[in-house]
Amino acid sequence: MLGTGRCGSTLLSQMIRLHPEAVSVSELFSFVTDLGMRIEGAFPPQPIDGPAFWKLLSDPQPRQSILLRHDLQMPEVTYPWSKGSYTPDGGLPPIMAGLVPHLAPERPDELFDAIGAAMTRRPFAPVEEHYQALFAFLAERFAASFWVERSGGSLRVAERLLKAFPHARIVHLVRDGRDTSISMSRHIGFRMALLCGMQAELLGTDPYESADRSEEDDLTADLSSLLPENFSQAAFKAFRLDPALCGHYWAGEIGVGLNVLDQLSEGRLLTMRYEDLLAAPTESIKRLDEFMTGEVDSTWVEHSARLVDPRPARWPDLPDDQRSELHDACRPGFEALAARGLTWD
Amino acid sequence: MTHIVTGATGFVGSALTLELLLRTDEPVIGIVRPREGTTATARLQQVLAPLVEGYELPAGLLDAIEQRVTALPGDLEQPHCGLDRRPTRFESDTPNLVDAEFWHCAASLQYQDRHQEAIDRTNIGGTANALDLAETIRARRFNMVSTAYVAGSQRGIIKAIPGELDLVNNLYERSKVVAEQQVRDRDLVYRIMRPSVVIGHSVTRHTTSSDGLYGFLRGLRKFRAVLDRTSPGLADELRVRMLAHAEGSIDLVPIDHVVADAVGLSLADAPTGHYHLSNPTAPNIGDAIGAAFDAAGLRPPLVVKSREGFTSTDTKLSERVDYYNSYIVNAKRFDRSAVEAVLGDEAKKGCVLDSPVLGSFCRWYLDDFERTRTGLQAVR
Repeated sequence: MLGTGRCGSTLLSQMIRLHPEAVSVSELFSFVTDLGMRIEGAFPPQPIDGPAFWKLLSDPQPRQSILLRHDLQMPEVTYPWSKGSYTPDGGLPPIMAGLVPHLAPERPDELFDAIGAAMTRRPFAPVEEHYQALFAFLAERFAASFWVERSGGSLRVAERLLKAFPHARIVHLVRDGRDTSISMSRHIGFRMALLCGMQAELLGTDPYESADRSEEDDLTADLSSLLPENFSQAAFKAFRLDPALCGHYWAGEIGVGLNVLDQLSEGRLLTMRYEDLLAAPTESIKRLDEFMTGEVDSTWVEHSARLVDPRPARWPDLPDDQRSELHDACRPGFEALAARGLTWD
Repeated sequence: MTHIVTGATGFVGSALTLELLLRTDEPVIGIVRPREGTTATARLQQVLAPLVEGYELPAGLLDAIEQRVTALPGDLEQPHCGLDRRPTRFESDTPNLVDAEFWHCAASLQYQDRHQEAIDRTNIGGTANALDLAETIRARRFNMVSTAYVAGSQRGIIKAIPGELDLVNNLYERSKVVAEQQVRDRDLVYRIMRPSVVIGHSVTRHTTSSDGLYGFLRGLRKFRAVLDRTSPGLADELRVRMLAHAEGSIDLVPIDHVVADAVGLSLADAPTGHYHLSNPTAPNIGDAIGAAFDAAGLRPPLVVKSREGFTSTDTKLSERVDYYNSYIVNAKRFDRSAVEAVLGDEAKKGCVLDSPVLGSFCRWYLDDFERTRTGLQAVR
C-alpha cells in the first residue's frame, strides 16, 4: 500500500490487521529508511548477509532516536514502553517502532527475537530477497496466506518497491492534497523529514552522517538550532512549516509517484480515494478485498467499516490567502491526478 | 619600509599582498594563524602562489612571494595579535618593522545573531589587538580594511564619514562601526578603507571569496536544490517574489580594483581619513539579481517593492538571503571624492558590469563551488 503519507493509510493497516487471511506489515519502510533520509541504506545495491540485514532492521536510526530522546514521539511509534525492554533514551530498532507492536502489542520482544533468529540465519542475497523472506516469515508465523505492507510516505520509494516485489499488487491511497499538506505540516515525522532535507541541502552534507559543518553559515537560525548537536524540543516545535510548502511537497510526490505507478500492468493497481473510504466505507472496503483476495469477506468488511471515523476536511477553515496559496501549491498534483480520472472539489 | 598585513590569507588581504609585491620593492610580513604541519610563512606562500595564475599576474611574482613574503605565527584574538611577548625582538632584530605600514585586513564576515561572540571577538577585539600592536611597533600608518556598508540602512549617495550604530542592519555592520571608532580613537595616522561588495578579478573572474555576491548566489543555488529535493519540477515553474529596488545600483567592485585603490592611496601617502573603495560604474540591482538567478538555474524573480502577497516559498527564499536585503533594498552609491582627490582621474575608471559580465562572474563562482563540493543526491 503506497501513499504520500498523511493520506489516511494508517487506517488501512488497522483494517488489514483484522483480515483473517492477511498479515499486516506496518511502517517498515518508514523506519528502516529513517523517515526517508536513509533510503540507500535500506536498499543497498550489493547483496548482504543475514546479520547485515538484521542490523538494518534492528539498529536504531539517528533521526528517530533524537526525536524520542526529546519526547517527540510520532503517533506511528506504537512500541509499548511499559511492556518491552527498550527506553526512549536508548533508541528503538526500526521494526520495534511500528511493525512488531502492530502485530504483537502484548509481547513485542518475543516477536522481535523470533524475527532476529530467522533473519540472521539467512545467506548472502539481494536485499529484496531478504525483505521477501521477512514478509514470508511473518505470514507463516501469523498463519496468513498473504501479506500487506504499508508505510507512510512510501510513494517516495515506489520504484524500488515495484522492483523489490515485482509480483505484488499495489494499492495507492490518495487524499485531498490540501488536507494531506495541513496534516504533514503538523506531523512530527514529516516535519523532521522535511527539515532534515533542507539541512542536508544547505549544509552540503547530512548532519546525521557527517561532522562537516563548513557550510553551517548557510543555515537559517531555525535550521541551525535543529542540528543534532543543538536539537531541542522547543526548537522543533517552533520550526515553521507552512502547509503550502507541504503542498509543494505533496504535489511533487504525487507527480513522480504516478509516473512510476503508470508502469504497472492492468489489474496490479487499485487506486483508492481516502474521502471515498470515509464517505462509503463498505463499498470501498469491498473493492479492496476483491482486489486483494478476489472475493469479499463480509464479516471483515463489516468490522473494518466500524473503524472508520469520518472527520470534516480542514482546508476550508484556512484563512482565504492561505487556502488560496495551498491550493496553488497542490495544483500540479491535482492536475496529475485529474489526468488519471481522480478529482476533488 | 615594511608592510605588515593581518588577514593576508583572506580574500582581500591576499590580493592586497600581491598588489604590494607588484607595485613596491618592499617586504611584506603577514600575521598568520598557525596550522599544524606547516610554518606560517609556508602557509601564506601557499595561499598566494596559486593566485598569481588565478589573477593572471606576472609570473615573476612567484619569486617575489618566495623572497619578500614572510609570516609570523599570530592570532588576532590574542593581545598584540599573539606577538605581545616579542615586541623587543621585533624592534631589535627586525628594526625595519618600526615605521612599518600596517594593513589590518583580517575580519569575520559572519553576520548572524548566533555568531555574535565570534564576530565581536574578531572584528572588535581583533582590531583593538591590531591597534595595540601597531602602536607598539610604532607603525607609520594604520590602514584598516572596513566595509562601505557601515552606512547601514541609509540610501542614496553615502558620504565617507563615520558610521552610526543606530543605522546598522546586522552584527557584522555593527562590529565594523565599532572597530572603525576604535581606530579613530587612537593616536595614529590612519586610513579607513571601505570596500563595497567585493567580487572576483575583473579579467579572470577568479575569486576566493564566498561572501557578498557569492553568498547570495549560494543561497539561490541551495534554494533551488531544496526545491528539487522536496518538490521535483517546481523550480522550473516557479517565479518567486523578491523584495528589491530594481532600478537602484548595487556597488559590486572587482578585487583588483579594490587593491589597486588601496595600494595607490598608500603609495600616494593619502592623509588620515575615510576612503570608499567602490566601483564608480556599479551595475543596477535588477541586472545583478537577474544574472544571479539565471546562473543559479532559477527563473527570473518578480521584483517587488513590498512583502505583501509573499507566499511561503517567497518567504523561505527571503529568509535565506535576508542579509543581502541591505544591498538590494536600500540602494546606495558611495562617494569616492576622497579617493579621487588622491588618485586623480585614474580613480574615476570603474569596471562596467552589464548582465553578461555579471553572469560570467556568477557562473565562475558556482562552477568552482560545485567542483569543490561533494554534494548530495536526493534519493528516492
